Amino acid sequence: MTPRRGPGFLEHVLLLWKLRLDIGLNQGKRPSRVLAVLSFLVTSSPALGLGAAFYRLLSWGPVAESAAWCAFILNLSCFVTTAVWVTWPILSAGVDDHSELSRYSAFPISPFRLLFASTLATLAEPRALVIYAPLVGATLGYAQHHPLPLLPALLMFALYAVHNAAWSRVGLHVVLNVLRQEKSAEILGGGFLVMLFLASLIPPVDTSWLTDVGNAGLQALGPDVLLNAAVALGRVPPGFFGDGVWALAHGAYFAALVDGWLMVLFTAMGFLVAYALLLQFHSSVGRAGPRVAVAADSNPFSRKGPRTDAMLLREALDLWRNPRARLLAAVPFLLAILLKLLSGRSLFAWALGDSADAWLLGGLALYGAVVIASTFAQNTFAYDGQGFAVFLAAPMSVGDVLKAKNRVHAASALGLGALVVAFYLAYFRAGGVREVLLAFAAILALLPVLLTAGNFLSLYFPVKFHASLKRRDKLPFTASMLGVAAASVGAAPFAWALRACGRAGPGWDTLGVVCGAAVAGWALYAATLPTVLRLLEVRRELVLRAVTRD
Amino acid sequence: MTAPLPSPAVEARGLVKRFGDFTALHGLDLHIPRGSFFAFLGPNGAGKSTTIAILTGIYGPDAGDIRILGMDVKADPLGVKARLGVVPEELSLFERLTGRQYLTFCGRMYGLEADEASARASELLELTELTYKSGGLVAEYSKGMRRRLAIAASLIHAPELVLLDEPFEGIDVLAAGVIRELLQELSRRGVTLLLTTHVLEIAERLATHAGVIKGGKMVDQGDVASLKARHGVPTLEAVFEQLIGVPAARNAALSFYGPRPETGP
Repeated sequence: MTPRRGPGFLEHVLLLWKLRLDIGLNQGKRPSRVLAVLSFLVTSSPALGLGAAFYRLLSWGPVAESAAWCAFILNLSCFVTTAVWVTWPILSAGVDDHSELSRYSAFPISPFRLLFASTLATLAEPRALVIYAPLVGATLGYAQHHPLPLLPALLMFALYAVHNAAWSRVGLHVVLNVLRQEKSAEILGGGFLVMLFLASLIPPVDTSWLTDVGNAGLQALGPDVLLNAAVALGRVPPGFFGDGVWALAHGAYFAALVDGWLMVLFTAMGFLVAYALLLQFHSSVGRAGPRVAVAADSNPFSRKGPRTDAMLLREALDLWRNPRARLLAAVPFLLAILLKLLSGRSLFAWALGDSADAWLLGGLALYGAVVIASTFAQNTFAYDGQGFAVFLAAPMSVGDVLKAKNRVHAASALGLGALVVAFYLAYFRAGGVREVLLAFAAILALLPVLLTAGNFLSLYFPVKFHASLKRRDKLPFTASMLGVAAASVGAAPFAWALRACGRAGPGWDTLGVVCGAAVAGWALYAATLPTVLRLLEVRRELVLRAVTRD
Repeated sequence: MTAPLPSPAVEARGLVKRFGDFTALHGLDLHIPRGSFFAFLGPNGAGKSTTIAILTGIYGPDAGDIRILGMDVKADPLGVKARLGVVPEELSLFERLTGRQYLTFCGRMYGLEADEASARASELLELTELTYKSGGLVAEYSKGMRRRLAIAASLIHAPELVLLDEPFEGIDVLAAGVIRELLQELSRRGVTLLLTTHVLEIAERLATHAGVIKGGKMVDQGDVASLKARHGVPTLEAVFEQLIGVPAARNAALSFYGPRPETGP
């Protein structure tokens, strides 16, 4: 038997892209291509609006005629597009197919080609349409008044997209490697402190121009501020595309060539780093996930106490040892640091007056609560796996398990919210008693809605999750959208009450409204819990099958 | 002049694999003749799955040499993979593909043309009695069906050596029967098979050769008849018990059930 020649590189890219397409088209309980296509159209529809808006902005006379505005918007769009694309897989804490070397290990394809081909295949996913739409719109709008040579411009865009894809892999693989470490919590904490220290060395951004603009309108904005910002953005890798487009439009072909080569260089660097991290990920661990170092004689379950305590303790330990929870818990703090680094609070203060701290403090605390509560409450039996069968076999009500989960998830979300509030107060040295109380009230109003929705979603859309991060875990699209809707409803009282007080800052009446919403929310939770528990008894076998599937 | 002896299907010497402080394999030697049905036996955690992961290229060994079908795994890993079929213990199938789509995708990844991959997929679905479910998503398959599908996928490129890690685990008698017959047919056709299993009856019935691993070391290996003769016992299970020892748990006290009865049922 003579072994066949394996597929070529382009064939591998097409095969992996076709695989993603087939998986996408097979979504839903009964594969329905029409529904899948409709779902794709719905999820990618914002792309059209975003693209059109940026096209109109860059082709609008006053902007198109200003070199400073054009360069600034183009380069800023590049920066934001790269930032979103690179952080997307990290923030969603997802594991992409390419990281599952074991799944493709049988096939005659080298790990590097697999990484490269799979990374290129991600560029044809629906999210690419939405994320790249503003930049594509901006570039086309710019080209309306500044004609671009088509082929070089397309080549620059392709290089830019591949560059972003490579660095998104780096980000993802760094996170995966950290999370698989035995001491991932310590590494995350240490990295966080180092980042705080480094951030303190960076001088604050001069935001006096915001005050000028606030007093005299946009005409007070001197071209120097825009040009300096555009030049700065054009000197970091994400800005090479914008810089290159500007150079192409002005016939500076050598400058465009330099931008192109720099993108190739950084892309190659990104792929090499991503590959090294990927091999590290697969070589440094056995079959298990992160190991937890526990002294041999340490057994928290040997303490005296009722059975409920043991259940609560198990849930809390499960959450504490979950690498995804650790990653998600770090996100609001990183956002707060970025906010300070970019002087974002000044921007909010300019736009929202005395309400700025209430918005920021409440918003960050709510975000922290949402990432914990929605991730773990909306598919609450996901990580139990065969453990759920143990609960069903034990002489106890499975409803007690659900209630224990609700209590632990609520407490964790509230705890993370409290930590975010404390961090904000210490780090920004801003915010008062009313802002703090409003943030807590907002979380208390949000939690019952998330828990209620989460309980129903856990029963109707159960999916097995893998704590070891070895597999790609994905909730059905409908469940994700319903989860987003629940979070929006839960956060609405806070947003509505704060919006009503304008720039004046929250009053005690604002707090009263949010507290009232919290009381109503918990009443809703209590009212729906009996139905949830009854449904759990009815659907327990369905849930068991879903969360124990190989 | 006689023809040179064909190289063994697998020849591994001094394999060492470490995961941090833990050493999974301590200088393992493995010799699997071509055309044999090799039962790779050992208790949980002995290093069977790690050995298979090294043979399939998931892990690189920290020390030692491996030749598969006469080829150096380090020098030509992709060439080896093109002639190898693998059924891992943890099945990582693409849940949102249909059974037919999955098999065809696997065939294409091995370089088969689309029509040939599709034709072979149909034949393998028939052989593994999955044709009636070929249009259903893998996510809807039972454990036994998923196992049969994984075996079908491992055969789509007509490999000369197939590695099967616990293919009989957690499946019913009917699925086990289908798999057993399939493996016997492959063996009759001269395909070399490496099987890890805890079901020693199956190993006894199917295997021509066996090896027993304990604590990351191969404690004995050879053809089944010579193993039994060497240890002076009639069955492979007895060989296994002699080499591995009786688990201590059988002597556990179970004191919370009260005093141990004098005679048992």
